[in-house]
Amino acid sequence: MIDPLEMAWLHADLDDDLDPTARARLQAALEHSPELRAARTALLELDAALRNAPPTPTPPPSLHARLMEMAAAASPDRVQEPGFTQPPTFGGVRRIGSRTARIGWRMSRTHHRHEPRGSTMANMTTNKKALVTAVAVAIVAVAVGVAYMGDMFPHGASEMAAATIAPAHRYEASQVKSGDLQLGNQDAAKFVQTDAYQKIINDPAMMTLLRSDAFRTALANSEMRTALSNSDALRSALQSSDAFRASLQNSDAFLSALQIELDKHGLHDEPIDLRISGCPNGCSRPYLAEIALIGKAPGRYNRLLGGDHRGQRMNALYRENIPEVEILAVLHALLARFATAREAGEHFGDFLARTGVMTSPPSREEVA
Amino acid sequence: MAHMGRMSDEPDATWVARLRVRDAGAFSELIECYERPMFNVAFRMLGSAAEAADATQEVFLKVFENIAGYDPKYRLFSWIYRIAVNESIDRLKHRRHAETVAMDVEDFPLASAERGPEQVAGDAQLHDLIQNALMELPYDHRVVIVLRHFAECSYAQMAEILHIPEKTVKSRLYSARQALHGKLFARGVAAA
Repeated sequence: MIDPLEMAWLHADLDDDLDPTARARLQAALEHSPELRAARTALLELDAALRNAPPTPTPPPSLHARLMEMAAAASPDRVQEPGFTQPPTFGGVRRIGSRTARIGWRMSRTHHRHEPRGSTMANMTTNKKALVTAVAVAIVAVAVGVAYMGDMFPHGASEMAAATIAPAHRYEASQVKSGDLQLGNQDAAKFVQTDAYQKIINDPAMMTLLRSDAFRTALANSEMRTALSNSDALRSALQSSDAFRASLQNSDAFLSALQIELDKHGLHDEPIDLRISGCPNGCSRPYLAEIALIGKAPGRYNRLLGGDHRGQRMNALYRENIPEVEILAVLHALLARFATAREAGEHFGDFLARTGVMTSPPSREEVA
Repeated sequence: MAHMGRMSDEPDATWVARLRVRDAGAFSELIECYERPMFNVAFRMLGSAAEAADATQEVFLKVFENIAGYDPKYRLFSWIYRIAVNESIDRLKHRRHAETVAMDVEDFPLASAERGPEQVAGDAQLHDLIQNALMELPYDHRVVIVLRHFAECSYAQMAEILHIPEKTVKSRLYSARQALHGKLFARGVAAA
């Protein structure tokens, strides 16, 4: 089984986009992994096959001629030479049919329109000219008629306009000003209109929790309320942790590799709650995630699994003190099992609990 | 990309300014610079030289028509490549049936003193195998393979052309390569 991170390094190495540190780690991994060497060989073969592919054929000469004609047409200062036919213009032309047909239509149409006297236009018969003139006169007549009728009818009914305005005076009254209203405490009304309130009342589990005596007792504690509402304390905790910041700096590479791993198992759209924390203080609440990585030492993490997707069940320690490069390798087998043996709509954490991979910590009732 | 060196000779802003005042010389330079790359992209996306030529013409037509609305926050090359990619995908979507593309005979050069008939025929066969495998990939996979391996774009340039993050480019390219390798392996072009 190949670590997705190492696989990503292989591709980056092929594209000459690997930094020296990662290249050195890739070389070390290649020495120890026959599978990785085989994957590298396959990748190099693909690259060689594409490099050795016969070159793209040369564009047909007629294409270049057409394009240069278009370029000439775009220039307003093209000098008219004897016998020169004005090339097509490109602005304001309506689109008809397929695109290829549109170009052909546009080219031929404008050629005719701009051809000098004495050629195609001169060959047009008198009957056709008369027909064109008659159609033009008819169009002008219709346009004049429409303009006349449009001018007569709306503005001619002036009595209707007066009838509409007159009753409006009956309802004239002084405007109600903000000072006329005395509002009480609006906090509850505003809260009812928030998204958070809608989420709460539509979540049965949350409603049960809010009605429980234990939760109300906990909220009655002022220290608890302060801890929940004091965001400065959380921010300070985040800023004071070097390990946490370091984990954030590396998270892009890890997430990229994880995305590849999920794609491999067809789980790219599966919502999995992943939380990474640089230290065991748990500011990012990793103990409630389906997958949690908690910094143990530089480059080493404890892995916890099995939390509930909605954050209502704690996870448990799965592997302790694992190096970065093994994180995805350990996850690979679990994701493979999840992809094949999950039940409909089942989340990753629930799957781990159902299949016995992880045993959740006992609930408060069980302890009692 | 081959045209990048030439682009550095003249900043985008100057070039676009000349295009906007309908400078015929600027248009000619644009065609000289981008005709081959656009045809290359269209051909690899569509698998047909005739359709690629039509698509290339359409690309330049759109450039000429829309240069006034060009947004200078994008680089000129990425704007033109994006038009070419979108034009190719539009044409693919308008195809009524999944088409197996075979190379037109006249698209390949005839046998010569340097390349005998067998070698030319072998090239055509290899091309068909690779191009057909490419045509079986989904559009988003095909486009990253074409831009990376046939247009030699960097990750950053591909991200700029496709308007997606660089990480997504990498991820998509890795998946596309694996899929393409599988298809070439099935045709005997690549080893397991």
